[in-house]
Amino acid sequence: MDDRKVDVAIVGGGLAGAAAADVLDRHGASVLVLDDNLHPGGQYLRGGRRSGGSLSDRVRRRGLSLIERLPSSSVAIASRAEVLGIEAGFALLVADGNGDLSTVKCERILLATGARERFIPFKGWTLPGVMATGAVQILVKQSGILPERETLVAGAGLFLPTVARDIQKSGGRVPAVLNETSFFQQVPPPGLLVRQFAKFAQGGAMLARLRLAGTAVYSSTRVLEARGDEGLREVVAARVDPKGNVITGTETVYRTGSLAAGFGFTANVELAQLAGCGLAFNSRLGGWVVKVNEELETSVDGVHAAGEITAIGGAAKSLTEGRLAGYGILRRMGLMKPHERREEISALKKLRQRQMAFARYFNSQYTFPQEYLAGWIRGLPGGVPVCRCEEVNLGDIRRAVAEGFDTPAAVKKATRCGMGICQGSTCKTILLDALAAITGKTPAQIPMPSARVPVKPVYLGTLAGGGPWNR
Amino acid sequence: MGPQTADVLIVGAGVIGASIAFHLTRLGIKPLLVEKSDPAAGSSGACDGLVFLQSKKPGLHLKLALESRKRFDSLVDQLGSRIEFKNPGGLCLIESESELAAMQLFVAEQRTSGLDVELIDGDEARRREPCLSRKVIAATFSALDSQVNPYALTFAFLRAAESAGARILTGVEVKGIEVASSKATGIFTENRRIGASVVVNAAGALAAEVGRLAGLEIPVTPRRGQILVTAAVPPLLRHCLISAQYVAAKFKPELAAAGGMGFSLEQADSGNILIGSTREFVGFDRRTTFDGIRTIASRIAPVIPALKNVPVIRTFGGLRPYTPDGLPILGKVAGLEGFIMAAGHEGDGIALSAITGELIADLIATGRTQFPLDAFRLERFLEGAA
Amino acid sequence: MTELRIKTHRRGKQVALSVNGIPVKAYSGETVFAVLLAEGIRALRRPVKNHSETARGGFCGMGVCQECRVTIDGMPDRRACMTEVREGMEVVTDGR
Repeated sequence: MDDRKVDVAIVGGGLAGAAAADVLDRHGASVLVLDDNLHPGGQYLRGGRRSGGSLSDRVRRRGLSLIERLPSSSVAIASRAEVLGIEAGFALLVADGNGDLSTVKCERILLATGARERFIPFKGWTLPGVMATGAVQILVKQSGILPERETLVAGAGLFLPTVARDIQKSGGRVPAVLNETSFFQQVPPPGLLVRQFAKFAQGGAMLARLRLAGTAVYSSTRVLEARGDEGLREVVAARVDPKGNVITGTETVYRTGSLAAGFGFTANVELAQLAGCGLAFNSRLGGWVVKVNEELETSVDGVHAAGEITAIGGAAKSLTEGRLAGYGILRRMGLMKPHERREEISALKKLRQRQMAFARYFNSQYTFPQEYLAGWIRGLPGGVPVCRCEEVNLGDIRRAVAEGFDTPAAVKKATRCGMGICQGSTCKTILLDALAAITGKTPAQIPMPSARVPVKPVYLGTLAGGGPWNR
Repeated sequence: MGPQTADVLIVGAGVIGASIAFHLTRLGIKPLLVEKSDPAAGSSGACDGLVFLQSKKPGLHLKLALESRKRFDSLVDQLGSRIEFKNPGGLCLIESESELAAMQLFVAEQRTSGLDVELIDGDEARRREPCLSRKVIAATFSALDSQVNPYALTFAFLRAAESAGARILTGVEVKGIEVASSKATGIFTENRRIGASVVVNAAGALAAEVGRLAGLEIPVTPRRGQILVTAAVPPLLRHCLISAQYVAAKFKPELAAAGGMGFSLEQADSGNILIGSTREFVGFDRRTTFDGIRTIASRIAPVIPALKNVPVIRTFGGLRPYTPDGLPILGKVAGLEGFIMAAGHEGDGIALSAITGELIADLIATGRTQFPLDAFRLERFLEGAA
Repeated sequence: MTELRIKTHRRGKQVALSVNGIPVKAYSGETVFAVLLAEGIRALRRPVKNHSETARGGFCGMGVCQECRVTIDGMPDRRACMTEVREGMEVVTDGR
């Protein structure tokens, strides 16, 4: 990719990025979308039309049409493009799929970097055969391949039945869905249930279909251990009481070579951090998120944010925020007058508020009271890995805290947790949760470790400008 | 409540302050360290771990470094294996005939100062260090060159000092220095006064700021060095490595302008390779820059091509405490009794930590040092201007 | 060998690649990670530090966790989940 100069650089080609690109393009801004994936569409549109997914899903239809419109628009899209850093002015350092390095200069930036999964570790979770729920969904939707004929699904949150259903519809078997959350935690607040009844009805229908297809669905159930030698062979789960204590005698062993485990999501805020944007911790928004105003502007002039990084909230919210952010950027650039599209924007803002209400419910499904989570983590054996890359386990973290290292940065330096090749993307939230559990601090009191260039690993050859596999 | 007085108060818990504390406890003195942030939060936590003799200026600087290097062997026994001290030997890589000519002069001077250095040709260099490309036409080798984990070293000094009675206050900034009748008698923090018979300025890149609190002009300026950190890989480097470029430039100034930047590399125990470094005066800005990291990468790729396939996972910037003549500022300060300088090590802090700790501790405990500190006194900068 | 390919998924054209020297047939649009699973290969590498005992395989499936690193066409540390198969591709697991 050559060096470029555009009006707006959008980082992330998912629903929020695509929606914003569409708005910006229609009003004459020059736009470059930098997406790190093989194909645009983010997580929601994995596989595009190939995966045979339902087109009765309005969000999916809208998303697909946005993505499909882009090639014939003036929007430039760079796929397999990883933004390594942002400098004031703005300049973005980009590594592309061929190992080439380039700089993108732009007037304004929209960060739409989405979310990744978050985990609570358990014994044996690093065994081959144990995967994130998203990994299984991506395998099924993008490559059309099942990890095994049978996959056990476990963890917490609304994503579990969705993935289980994806597996079933693809001809795979799901012996059970094991959800940590209690039945009561899953019941939505009455007001929300009424206002978004269709959504909940859909969810209920999905659970019914799951059961009809032979999948047992359990609440208040926790994965205790994944067992195996070279790979997963069986999973041990048990029921937990309302305080989160394991109820002895309820252990069940599932023989399986494939476990899809998921515990919710965490926003990809690292680039925003690097750009100096203010963050906030709010468990109802999914943890650490980028602070934005109603126009979706961050605390840094010229940097806007949309989608999961403002709050984990799903596809519809991302589409709404993409549009809103697009209009916000146009206004700031003087490409749209203040009174233009006032009604549409006002309607979008109201829609966003409704979507935020659902987002708060969504996030509550994998958020546990501090004492509950603390007890859960306290009950984990010291040998449970926390940092997969550097092989730092929970016992190492406990020892470090006992020696006086009680912030993520200090624990990182003392144990190397978070200093591996994944740059903390898997263990950061685990470390935050572990520190909260061990020290008694609330997550909001535990400072997020800072982000540095490169926010993704990059071959030295790429940085050197040659591209390691330049032909 | 916290301490009200201390015999010896050390400002800064980086590797220098920690080493001084350790050496003081071995002489029966229990110092108090006052650290603005966390131990090794400054340059000691943002540097590579090279203990390199070949990069030192022949004469006093090199002699000081040799003394320091000698002490590392016993430090390993005293502090334990977690400081990750390794002695693979070091190669200084020569890439041009011009550099080679300069290095031949340099080697002669190094030997005079007591450093055993071997000059070898490019093929021999590649035999000993197979990852080197043909860009390397020659090299100099010193068996003494070593590496250590700087963060672990700082903590090991502190641990040992604390178990022998030293105390440390972290998250406490020195806001003022109490001076009465040309004598330093204590410090002020946000909340209180701590009296002290001796105050040691081991504040590294912040040494000038601390000096101003005592009414002193201390010419320590932060000089940023950016470092790339790769993912952990199987053993690739057999030695610690530096480039001859900036060393040679001292003898042939035209090389300073012509050549690229100097580089230094080590492969840590963890398997990560650290590659430095820029030399920039940018105040206290520790950020890395696109320019800086691209320059380091493109500088090293032709010399060690295997690095092109290694992922870079992190970069950081450290602030070297630079002084105008490249020598640290050590010892008593004329006109201010009870105030001792121990800062300005400019990129050599880790290597010189052992000897600095010993010298300063001896000075405080006995008034005498193993060799004179005249060449390192603060006043030398004022005298030059006269 | 159990067939793990989903019948209703529309695939691209067939490609031939090699995995650890063994010829494998796959389809354009599939990721290396998916193809390896289809071949029954889920242990992709040894842990770097060596003090843990189990092998590692792909985990997050979206390019973030870096666990699925394999050598592709001679280049080490390529993420299998972020790379689509190509005709003639050479994949080596446990490469670095």
